Amino acid sequence: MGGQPTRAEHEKRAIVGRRRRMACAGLVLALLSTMPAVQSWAQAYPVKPIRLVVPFPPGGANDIVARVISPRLGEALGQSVVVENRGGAAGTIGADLVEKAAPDGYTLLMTPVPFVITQSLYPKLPYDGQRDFVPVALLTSSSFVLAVGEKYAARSLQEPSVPRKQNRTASRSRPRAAVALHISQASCSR
Amino acid sequence: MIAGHVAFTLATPAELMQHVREGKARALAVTTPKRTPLAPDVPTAAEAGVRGFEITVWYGITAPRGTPAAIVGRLERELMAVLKAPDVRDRLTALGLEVTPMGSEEFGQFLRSQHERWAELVSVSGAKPD
Repeated sequence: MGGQPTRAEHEKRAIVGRRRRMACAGLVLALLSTMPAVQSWAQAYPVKPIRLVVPFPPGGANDIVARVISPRLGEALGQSVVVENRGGAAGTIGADLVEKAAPDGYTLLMTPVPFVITQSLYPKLPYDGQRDFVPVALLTSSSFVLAVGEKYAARSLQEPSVPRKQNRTASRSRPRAAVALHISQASCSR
Repeated sequence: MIAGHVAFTLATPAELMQHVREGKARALAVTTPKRTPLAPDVPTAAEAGVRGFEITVWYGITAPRGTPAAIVGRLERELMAVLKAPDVRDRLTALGLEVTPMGSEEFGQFLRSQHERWAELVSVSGAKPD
């Protein structure tokens, strides 16, 4: 009895073997059937809504630009483009979220000036703004206007509103710091 | 500034030009290398005699590294088309923003130059995070 498999056992083994072969064939089929899908993946894009992450709270210029652009981009792509506000830490929280998202075109970052400033300002960012993102498009660029109030005498950039002697320290170094800080604050708050 | 508490300010043309027209503020210069159509009478800083004072406020779109080039290309093409639509341009212009479309490659070069510029500004100014 011992060495010889019974007929029932034999049949069971045959069934298991058949199942294994079928499973293998199924796996091969599944792989084959996904290959064209991989190839046409980019052509089929997008097949689901796209997230456009705004790394600031709602209401700033960054957010408004995203909300002007997103419905039209959605129409053009045939999928909705959903604006998602992820504010905090001067825009670095939203940028980090995008950097860690799948690079499949379904997560995009609204990218403003602070994205670049924070790269230099914060030594320990969890991402590299230059290396970890690919540029898609620039939308707008514009000026700041440097202006003085009517109570101040300055009529040109070269004409300080206070006597040069008093203003020496300020005119040599502090405005640079002030301007960079002001800009980073001004642009961070947008 | 309008109230006289601060001597000068930097603000977008949309925020400021109304006060300039009302005589409450004097615009000395714009911070871009070229004059802005939103305030065409205001000289550039270079025209006003100060070289190297350039700050551009911009908005773009980036994607995580590794996003397929075909997808970046598709998004780029559609965005360029969206930015040509007159109503989109009008809405952005009303916000004081100039529509200046750049595709992926050009935007990449621009981003590199901005990274260099701000690294220098932050280093020279000694600016520290709050």
